[in-house]
Order: sequence, then C-alpha cells, then structure tokens
Amino acid sequence: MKGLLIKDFQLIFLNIRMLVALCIVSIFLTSSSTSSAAFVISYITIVFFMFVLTTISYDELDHSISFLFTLPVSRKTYVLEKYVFSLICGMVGLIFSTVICTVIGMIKNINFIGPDFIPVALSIYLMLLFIVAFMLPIQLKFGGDNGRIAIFLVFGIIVAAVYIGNKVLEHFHIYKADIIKFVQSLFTANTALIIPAFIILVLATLGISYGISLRIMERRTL
Amino acid sequence: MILEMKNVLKQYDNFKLDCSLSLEPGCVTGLIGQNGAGKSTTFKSILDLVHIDSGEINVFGKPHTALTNKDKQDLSIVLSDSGFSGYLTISKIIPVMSAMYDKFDKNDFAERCKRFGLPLDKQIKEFSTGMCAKLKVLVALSHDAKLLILDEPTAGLDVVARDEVLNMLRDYMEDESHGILISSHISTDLEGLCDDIYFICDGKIILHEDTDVLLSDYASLKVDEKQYDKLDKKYIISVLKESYGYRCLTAQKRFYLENYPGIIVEKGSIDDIIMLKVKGETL
Repeated sequence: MKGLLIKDFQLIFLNIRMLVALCIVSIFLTSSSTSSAAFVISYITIVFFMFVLTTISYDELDHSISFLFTLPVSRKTYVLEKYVFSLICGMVGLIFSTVICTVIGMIKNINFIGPDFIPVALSIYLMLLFIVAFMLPIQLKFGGDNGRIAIFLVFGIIVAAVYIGNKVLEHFHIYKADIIKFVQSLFTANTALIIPAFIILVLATLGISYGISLRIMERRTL
Repeated sequence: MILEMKNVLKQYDNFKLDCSLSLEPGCVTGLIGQNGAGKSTTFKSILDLVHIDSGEINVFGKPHTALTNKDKQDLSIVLSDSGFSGYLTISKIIPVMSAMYDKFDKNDFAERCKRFGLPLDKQIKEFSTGMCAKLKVLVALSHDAKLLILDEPTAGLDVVARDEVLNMLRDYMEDESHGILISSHISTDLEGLCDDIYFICDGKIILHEDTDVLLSDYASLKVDEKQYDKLDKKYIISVLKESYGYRCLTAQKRFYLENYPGIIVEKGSIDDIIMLKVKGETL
C-alpha cells in the first residue's frame, strides 16, 4: 500500500499550481467573519478530496490500472489505499487550510481560529468523508470521466428524490420546516452526542462504501 | 513448473479462449499468433486481470488467485498497452518501486536507465515508443523476479532497440531458475530467444513445439498439381492452394528431401508455419 500511496502523492503534486491558485483565491474569499474561514476550510478540503478522484482518473488513463495490478498490489489493497488516501488527503487539506487561514488572519489582523473552530473543522471533515463514501464506489465502477457523469446523475437523483419526498410529505401535511425543527430539537437536547453520533455514522458509511467498492473491483475485468 | 495453465476457458460474445500451456524454470516459452488470437487475454488470465470461466492456472505451484503480494514480487509483467501513468517520471517511479519490491535496487535501476538513454526527469508520456518499451523491460528486470511475462515487449521498436531489449532478456536468462513467457508477432524475435513456442489461433493452441525442432524438421513444400497428386501425404500437416499449385506444411522435412528430390523444400520458418496452420487446410 505504501507504494500506491507514494504514487498517488506523486500524482497530486502534479497539481501544485492548483494549490498555489487555491491559496491566492483563499485570500480574497476571507472577510472579517469566522464563517468565511469555515468556507475557505471546506473549499480547500473539498479540493483535496477531489484529488483522490483525480488519482483514479490518472489510474484509468491509458489502461494504467491494469499495469498496477501486475505489481504486488491486490484489488483489496488498491481499494483500501483509496480510502486511506482519502482520509489522509482530507486531513492534509484540513491542516493546510487551517494554516492558510491562520496566515491570512495574521496578515489581515483577524482571529479566525476561535473556540468553535475545532467542532466546525471536524464537522466539515466528517461531512466530506460522508460524500467521499458515496463517490468512491461510483468512480471505481465507472472510471474517470464516466464516473464524474455518474456522480452528477446520482446527486441529481438524490435532489429529485428529496424534492419529490418533500412534495409527498406536504401532501400528508408534514412540512420541511417541522422536520428541521424536530432534528434541531434532537441535537440541542443531546449536544454532547452529536459529534460521536456523526463519527459513528460516517465510519459506518465508509465501511459499507468500502465493501461495495471492493465488490466492484473484484468483479471488474481489467 | 513455474507456470501451468490447464484447460483454461474464457468465453466472450465473439471470442472463446481455450488454452493449456506450461513453462519450466530455465526456459523461454513463446506465444505467437495473429492480432486478436488471444495472446493478451491469455496473459491477463494468468494475472487474474481477466476472470476465467473454468480451468486451472498455477503460478509457482499456487493457484493464480491465491498469489499474495509477496508472491507477486517474484513476477514481472510487461503489458503491451499499459504501464505506469504517463504523467510520472522515472525519478518518481523509483520510490514507488522501492516501496513495492524488497529486491529493487534503485541505484542499479537508475544507472541502467541512464545507460539506455532514458531521461530520469522527463514525463513518460513524452517518451518515444522505443523508450517506453525499454523502460517497461527495465522495470520488469529491476527486482530479480523469477518469472517474466512479456506481452509484445518489442512492438513498435526499431531494429537496434529490439536487439537491446532481446539482449537484456538473454542476460536475465543466465540464471537457470528464471523463466520467460513472451508473446510477439515478430517471429524472428522468438526464433532467436525461445526454447519452445505455442501457436495460438482464435483462442486455441494449435501447435506446440521446441524451437529447434520447428527450425530443423518443419518445412514448407512447394509443389505443382502433378507433384501434389504423387506426394505421400502422411506427413503433411496442412495444405494451402497457391497460384503455382500447393504449399504444404510438414514436420518431416528429411522424408520429403530424400524421397522427392524434384520438389522445392523450404526450411521452416515461424511465419510460414503460422500462415499454413491458420490459412491452410488441415489434413
């Protein structure tokens, strides 16, 4: 797995110019509020997560993936590496964006990193892992470009399902605002449980996602 | 036996692979056939890149599906249509290989690359066909694997580059525990390198013979209609109708040389054998 991780880091370093551009854009995106810092952190972390999908595209290009499996790499190792790489990339993105925000804060003389920073950063990280858990199996199933189309389709279907679901619930006089209020009341009543519950939910989703991805790769002809 | 394929079957919509072959240590075995004959599918089956429908494949005495990452360190594969990402450079490949193979010698590999004129810091996608082919073989030879599986390693190479690649393979075979399974559509490459050759056509092995026997005992007989009628056909393998009469493939060259002094007997070449086996009518 170490070899695959090195390869993937080598591949994302090809996008070093994009990282520099990210830093520049971040300077313009931050205002005096801490919420703008949260936006920059999620923005940069998303880009780092996207790098994981980019490495799958690089692997698919010119059938490079067939060659990878001629090396001491099993299908299981390959899939596991993509999940480990996602966790690392997200963490690196989080640290990188925090450093950027701190530096920008020092330049602009604003303290972005307040007491609520860690829960916000952790929530962003977990939320993005949740999305990655959905995206990785799709990307592994459909490959580079087709995978991206499939992801758009899946998210389109989810949006459509939510819209239709909302309409159906409205038909039965159950309104969105009431559901949000109910969820909020659950969270405010159990503040201490929110993060652990979210962590367990994300880990469970990642576990299921890993199982599906492994099944996809094991069935795949390369 | 370092490699054994027994009655391996793989069915596609328009193609069926039905293959059995074996490779002994110290041997170079060739697999030859037309484009689309099943060479790449055979290789991909060995590596489990293509899942077989039935049959048995054993590598180093183990089922190919049970090979661990450690076992795969003793295997080296060159695929005709894939390699490391073209966006990487040799300098970037070195730490990857180093992390994957215990016996990878990075200094020796870098030295060899330089010796073969391969720039270390240029992206692979900028390499010429010859440079890519040399890199693939150098990567395959870099970690002292026991078995090399090479799918068209000399495709697209000029004569000089081809000779360099073949010499690398000859050097590799100085160790008697090594073995190579190689495919090529350039028959002269195989004639000079292989101990035995399998001929594959439409997914089936149609002939297996030692290279020495192929070159010494096989012949192509050129005969007109009259000569053909009088010819004893018990040693004729296949016949192809030509403008002048018939071209016949035999594995008993001496018999026809001694008994039919009037006919043209041409020394068997792999190209002739393929042509007559594929296009000719089997007797």
